[in-house]
Formats: sequence, C-alpha cells, structure tokens
Amino acid sequence: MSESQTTTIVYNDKITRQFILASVVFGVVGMLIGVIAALQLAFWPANVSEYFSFGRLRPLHTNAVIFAFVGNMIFAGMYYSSQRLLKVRLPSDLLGAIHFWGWQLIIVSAVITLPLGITQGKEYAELEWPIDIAIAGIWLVFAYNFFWMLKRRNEKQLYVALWFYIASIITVTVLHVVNSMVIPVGLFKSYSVFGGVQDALVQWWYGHNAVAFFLTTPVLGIMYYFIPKVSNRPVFSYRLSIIHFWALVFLYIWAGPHHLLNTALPDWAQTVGMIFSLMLWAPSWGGMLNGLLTLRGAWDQLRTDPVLKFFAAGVTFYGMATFEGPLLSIKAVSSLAHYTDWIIGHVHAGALGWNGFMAAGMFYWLVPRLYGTKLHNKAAANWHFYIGTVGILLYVVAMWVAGITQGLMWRAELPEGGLQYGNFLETLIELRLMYWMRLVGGTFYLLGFVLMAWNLFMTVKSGKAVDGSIEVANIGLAPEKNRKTWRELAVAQPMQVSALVLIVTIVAGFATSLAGGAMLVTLVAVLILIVVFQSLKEGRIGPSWHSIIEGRAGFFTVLVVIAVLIGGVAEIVPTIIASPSALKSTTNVPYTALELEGRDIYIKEGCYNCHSQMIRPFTWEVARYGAPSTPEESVFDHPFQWGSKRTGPDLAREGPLKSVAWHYEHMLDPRKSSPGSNMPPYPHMATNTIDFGDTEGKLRGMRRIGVPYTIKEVQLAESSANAQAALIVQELKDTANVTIAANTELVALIAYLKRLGNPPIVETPEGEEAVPAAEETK
Amino acid sequence: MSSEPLRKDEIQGQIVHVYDGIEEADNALPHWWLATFFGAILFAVFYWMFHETFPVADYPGETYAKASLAALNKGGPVTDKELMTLTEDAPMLATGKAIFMKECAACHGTKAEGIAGPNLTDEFWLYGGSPSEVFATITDGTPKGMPNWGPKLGKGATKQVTAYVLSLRNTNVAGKASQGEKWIAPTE
Repeated sequence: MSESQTTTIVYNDKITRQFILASVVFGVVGMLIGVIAALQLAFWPANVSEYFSFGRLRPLHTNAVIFAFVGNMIFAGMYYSSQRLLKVRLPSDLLGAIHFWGWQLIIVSAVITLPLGITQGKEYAELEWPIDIAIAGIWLVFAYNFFWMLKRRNEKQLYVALWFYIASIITVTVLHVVNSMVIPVGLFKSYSVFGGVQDALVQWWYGHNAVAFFLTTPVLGIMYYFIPKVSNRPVFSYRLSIIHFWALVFLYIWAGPHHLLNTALPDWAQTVGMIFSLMLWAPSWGGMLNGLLTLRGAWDQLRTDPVLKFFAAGVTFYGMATFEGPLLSIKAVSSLAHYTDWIIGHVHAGALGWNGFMAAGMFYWLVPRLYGTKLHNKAAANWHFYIGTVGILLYVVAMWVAGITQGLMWRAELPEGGLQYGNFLETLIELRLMYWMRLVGGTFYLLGFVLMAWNLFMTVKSGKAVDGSIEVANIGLAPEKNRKTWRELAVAQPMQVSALVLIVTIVAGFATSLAGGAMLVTLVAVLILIVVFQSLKEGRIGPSWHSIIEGRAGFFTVLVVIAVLIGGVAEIVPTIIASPSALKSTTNVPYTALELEGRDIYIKEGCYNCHSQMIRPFTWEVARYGAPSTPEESVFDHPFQWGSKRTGPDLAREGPLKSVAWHYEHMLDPRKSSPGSNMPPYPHMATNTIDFGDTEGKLRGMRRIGVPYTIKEVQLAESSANAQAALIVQELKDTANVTIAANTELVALIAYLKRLGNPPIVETPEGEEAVPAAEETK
Repeated sequence: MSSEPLRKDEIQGQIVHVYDGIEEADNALPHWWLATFFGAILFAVFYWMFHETFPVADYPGETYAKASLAALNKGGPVTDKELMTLTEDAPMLATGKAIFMKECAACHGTKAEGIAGPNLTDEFWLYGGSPSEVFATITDGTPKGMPNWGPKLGKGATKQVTAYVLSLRNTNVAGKASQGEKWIAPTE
C-alpha cells in the first residue's frame, strides 16, 4: 500500500441543528395540543370552536408528536450519528435541505388541514392524499441521501445503530405507501382502496408498525450510539444486538392485529397478532438490556449527569411499555383494556417516557457540542427530569385507573342478568377525577419540556455553531481479498437454517391435522437442537457470516427487506385475495348518497376518535350494544370506522335506537339528552352546507374501488341525496317542530347515524347479482 | 473499525469492535432472557396448535355462541321480541342456518324454496306467521307430516332455527307456490 494520506472530513452538522430546533418547537406545540385535548375530555366547554374540537385536535396532537416531534428528533440523531459511524459527510447538502424544509412544510400543512377537518379518517394516517404524496417524496429524498452515504462510507463494517436506521427507512416506506393507497375524489378528499376488514388489517399493520419503525427502531439506533458515547462505556453485547435486531425486525411486522382482538377480523389473524406480540417481549427487552447493561460501571454518573438520567429512565420506560404491550395483546386482557384509557396510558408511557426522554437526553448532550459550549443550566435539566418523571407517572397511573375502572364497569353484569351500569354515562362520569389528574400529569411534562426549550435556547445563545470533523486515512473502502459473492452469502448456513425454519413453520401453520401437529413439534425440536448445536460450536475460524454481511450494506438491506415483507405479505395478502368473493356474496347494501355524505361528516369531525363501530362477542357487550358486529356490516366501509377508543358508546347499531329528533338535539347540545357527557357540541353542523353536486363524484370513486353502485345510482346521486334529505327535514319538522335546511351537514350525518345497524331490506330475487363495475362500464 | 489490538474492559470483558470511539463487548446472553425468548416462542407454537392445528380451544365468537345457546335454553316463554332480536344476531343466524341445512332442507329445500314442505321465503304461512307461531310450529310439528323438532333440537336450537327461518321472510326465492294466509307484521 502506498504512503497513507489523511483527509479531513467535515460533517454536515447544520442539518442536525436544524432538526433539533424543529423538534423542540413542534414538541412544545404537539404537547400543548395534547394538554388542550386532555382539558377538553375533562371539561367539555374547552371545545371552543368547530376547528378545535376534540375530534379534530386529537389527530393533530398524535401527528404532531409522532411525525413532527419524534420525526425531527430521529432525523437529527440519525444524521449526526450516521455520518460519524460511516466516517463520511452527508453526500448531498441540498437533498438534506430539501428533506428538512420539505418535512417542515408537511407539518405545517398538517397543522392547517387537520383542524379544517380534511382527513382520511385513519389513525396516524389522517393526512390527505396530496400531503401523503409529499411525505413519500420527501422520505425518498432522505432515503436516497442515506443510502448514498452508505455507499460512500469510509468504514467497512456497519455498527448496530445503522442496522436499525436501515430497517426504519425501508419499512416506513413500505408501510406508508401501502396504507395510503386511496382513490381521490377531490383535491382534499379520498377514499381508502381497502374496505372493512381489509382496511382494518392494513391500517393496524401500518399503525402498529408506525410505532415500531418510527418511534422504536430509529430511537433504538440512537440509543446504541448515544448511551455508550455519553457514558464512555462499552456496549454490553454484540451478539445480543444481532439476535434482538433480527427478531425485532422480523416479528414486529406481524403484531398489528393485536389492535383488533375480539373484533370481526378473522380469528386466525387475531391469533397471529397475539402470539407474535408475545414473542416480541424478549427481543424488545434485548434492546433494553443492551442499553441498561452498557451503563454497568457508569451508574455513579447517573447522579451527576442529567443526560444519563434521561437515557436510563427512557430505556426503563421502554422496557415497561414493551412488557405492557405483549400483556395487552393477550385476548383476555384485551377484552378488558381495549377501547379504554389503559391503551392511552400505555402509548404515553412509550411516547413520554421512551421517546420524550431519549429526545431530551440527546438534545442536552448534542446542543452544547453543536455550539461549542456548555449546557447553560445543569440544575434546570435535572429539574426537567424530575418534573417530567412525576408528570409521566401521574399521567400513566391516572389512565391505568381510568381504563381498568371503566373496563370493569362495562362488563359488570347483575346476577339475574342485565348490566350493572346500563347507562354508558355512568362509566364515563366515574372517570372525571382521573381525567383531571391526567391533565395535571401532562401539564407537568409540558412544563419540563418548556424548561428544556429555554435551557437549550440559552445554551445556543452562549455558543457558536461548530461542525465536527475527523481525519480519515485512505478514503473509500479497500478492495477485499477473497470477497464473498452474493451467491455465497445467500446460500450460507444461517440463510439455509432461516429458510428451513420459515418454510416448515409456514407449512405447519396451515396444517389442521395430526401431521401438522407432528410437524410443529418437530420444528420446535429442530429449533432447540440448532440452538444447542450453535452454542457448543466454539473456536470458529475466520469472521462469522454475520460480521461479513455487516460489511455488505446492499446485501444487509436486502435481508432486512425480506424480513419485514414476510409478515406483511402473510397477513394482508389472504384478506385481499378473499375480498372479491366477500364483496360478491354480501347481502349488505351500499350507503345511499346522503348517508355517504353523512359518513364523510362523521370522518371529518373525527367521531372515530371517541366512538367505535365494532361490537365484540361478549354477553355484556351484546347486552349494551346489540349482536356482535360481522365483517359483512363494514364490507363497503372505505375507510373502515371500527374505532379504537370508546370515550362515547359504540355506534354500530345506533340507527334503530334513536329518533332523528334525538340526534338533532344531541348534536346541538349533547348534555340535554345525555347529562354528564363530555362530547363537544356541533352547532355548526346545522348551518354548514354540503354541495350535493359533488356527491356523484364520490359515488363514482366508491364504485371504482368495488362498491357496487349502479351507473344509475351514481348519476342520480344528487337528486337522491336531496330527496332523502327532504324526508329527514320533514320528519324533524313533524316530530320536533324544527326547521333546518336540507343540504346541511347535520341532516346528512343524521341520515348516516340512522343507517348504522339498520341496513335497508332489499327485495332482489335470488341469483340476480349486481353487475360488476368493470363489465358495466365497457 | 480500527486495526489496533482491542482492549479488555474490566466489567464488560473483551472489546470486539470500536466504531467512532464506541466500544462493543460481546457478553453472553443472560439465561433468563433466553428463557423468556424461547418460552414465548414455544407458547406461540402451542397456542397456535390449540386454536388452529387442533381446534380444541374456542375463539371468543364460539365461546359467546355457546354461552348464548345455554342462555336460550333457559328462560320463560318464548316471545316475538326475543325471536326478532335473534334475527339480528349473526352468530345465532349462522347456527340456525347450519341446523336448517342439516334437518330442514330435505323437505323445504336448501334455499327454503319449498319441496315437500312449503316455501318459507314468501309472506304466506299455513300455521301463522308471527315469530312465536313459527317457533310453535317447529317445536310441535304439524298434522300434515312435519315432525315435532322441539324435543330433538331443544329450546335453544329451535329458537336459532326459527330466527333463521324468520330472516328468510320476504326474500321471495323462486320455488314452490305460496300456500296459506298472508301474514302482515302488526304495526307498533
């Protein structure tokens, strides 16, 4: 080799500084909105306007915290650590700037559109299709820059943090693209191409893995970089990082259906969701162990260093949340906890404890270094930690108590039959104190965060932006001797074993016989034998297969893609295949034009944030709401509206129970008919109008994604909507002496609510099926 | 990764990699961790076997169906209201349909279009069309040759099959011509 020359590489740290600033600003905004939403639940008059009612603010809160606060935080951490781990500057400053400004523009568009009620009605994926396209574009810019950086790296081997970044970037792309597949019916309106059960499955495959690959894996990567860096201690175990990384990436993607336990989702998919969630427990704790045990020999630093306090507590909260998660995924536990505040407590243990504290630790450490100075006030950082911890505990305990209380009250049956708390409101009013306690906890946490914002601002003011640099000998990667080909790597023993285990598992999973059982037992035996065999095999010569692929970014990435795709394909494809026959055999009838418009109002107001439309097969649930929901009933629902939380009662069979006059009263002043309710009033719906001229386009869109409207129904949408609205107006006049315009949002919403659980009886002779859309349009 | 010899840490043991100054040790996995990892996998395998491979354990829907059948077998006299509620209960209807296909389809047809027995999909009834009259007909049989199903099926299953029959009313499947009197639902 020739005389080694060193080159100075200056990192692009500007982008890290920008993302940190954005994260702190949007963190304050997102948490403030969260506090307001918490206030609204405890004190309904806080729903001050149409634009800031709970149903519209809650999606803004979740989107702001996930994509603006944590999003900007992970970008900051990933850009900072990746450049250093790869010993290379970000290849394109321009693409980096596009990523930064594009992402902020997306956030601003969310802040504008969500209060306006422009939403797709799918949780954590509310943003409408033009914004979704922008997200995909900006994400690809980020991905391009990142993989370009991998290609130009001056460090052969990829450190574990980078594995997590690769998995995050790949998987979020797949999740976002699949879940955002819609048919636009206007610039700000679209319908999911998936309907009913299918949409539920895709949505929670996405929703769960947004938690996994947006809130968890990037932050695990950040943990792997910053905890050893800050504590100056060696990472506990390389082999643990290998096993927990692959287990996490492979298993996580399957666990989505645990959000749909005991619903109309096919039982096999529910079982898959449950067992994969349980299997996730140990891999998640693997991450916690590698974080906490890295601090062995550094525990004394925790007393003095606020950064390590935040990291240690953050990782501990991660461990707590990832134990609670599998617990909640057990069907029996879910029957108690689902739809209650327990779930809200669970997410906030993760979001406030894990994400919020990891972010705080990272910011307190990075900002002084990025500005060549010292933290302005260490005592304030310690205070932030204590206020924040108390805040989380108050919040989480309040939600545990509220959730378990309400869950138990819902299911309390009298010995002679019937419900002990037959009125839903009784179970809500019981929680009022806990809702105030949650508000106090959330406010504490926000105050701590504001303290941090001030502290960081003062730190920035006292310093000057500096970019890190490094001296690198020999730019580029040296050519390898005996470089293994892709083919050699792909047929190596670990690949053979993985493929074998996978194939046997899949085949055995389908079996429903003695043979299947025998195969499953054999599989388990083989698994154990392999592990034993591997552990006995010592003194390997040469680098292990895994250390080879750590040096092969392309091969590694392909393996990650395969690992995350298997679960998604296995779960989603069967329901998509079954979909046409489900649509063909259904006896359900699509919504009328007016009902569809009413449903769009339901989505616009975010009713799904507090009302479910999915009755589970339990006697107490049937006693309260009626017969268990079936897949049939939501077969034309694009998007599905099963909901995930019952701050109000289930509405799946609401239609026949209440009169149009009741709904009218209830929407204008919920407390008139339901004393003690915390539902926001909706007087604006009585005056806001709908242009039925657009209804035809909506039905046409629905028809294109398989809802069997006839051409005639589509063409007559406007007159049909007007005619049905006139009937409701007349009924309101006759029964309540109310005068309301026929084209108001309220009339349409009432039409929709009356339809729920009350499908029209159609008298079509057997054997005559609706002509499929494709044939008719020819 | 630097090429200098790697040190041994007194707590974490031998360092195996260094990246950007971050040292990585390679400690063995704690046994309790391995136990939870493999324990959960084993549990998953057996749970799947119990529910899917050998469906010995009931799913929530099945548990509910059994509990509701037990509840149906108890209770006082059958009312129209109870039977009409059952017609909106999908799992009940599914069970009712299964019983119908097994026991009733031979005489009434798989689409209830009528063979030896009358068409059940129209509005006309020989022995009364109110829900409790249909239930009584199925329970006690008819002079024309329909057996009394009550003792054989039990009260609960009879209710379920009644609910299924009621759900077919007015679906007007082409088949045997209408017999009996037209039944009109009483207005409330």
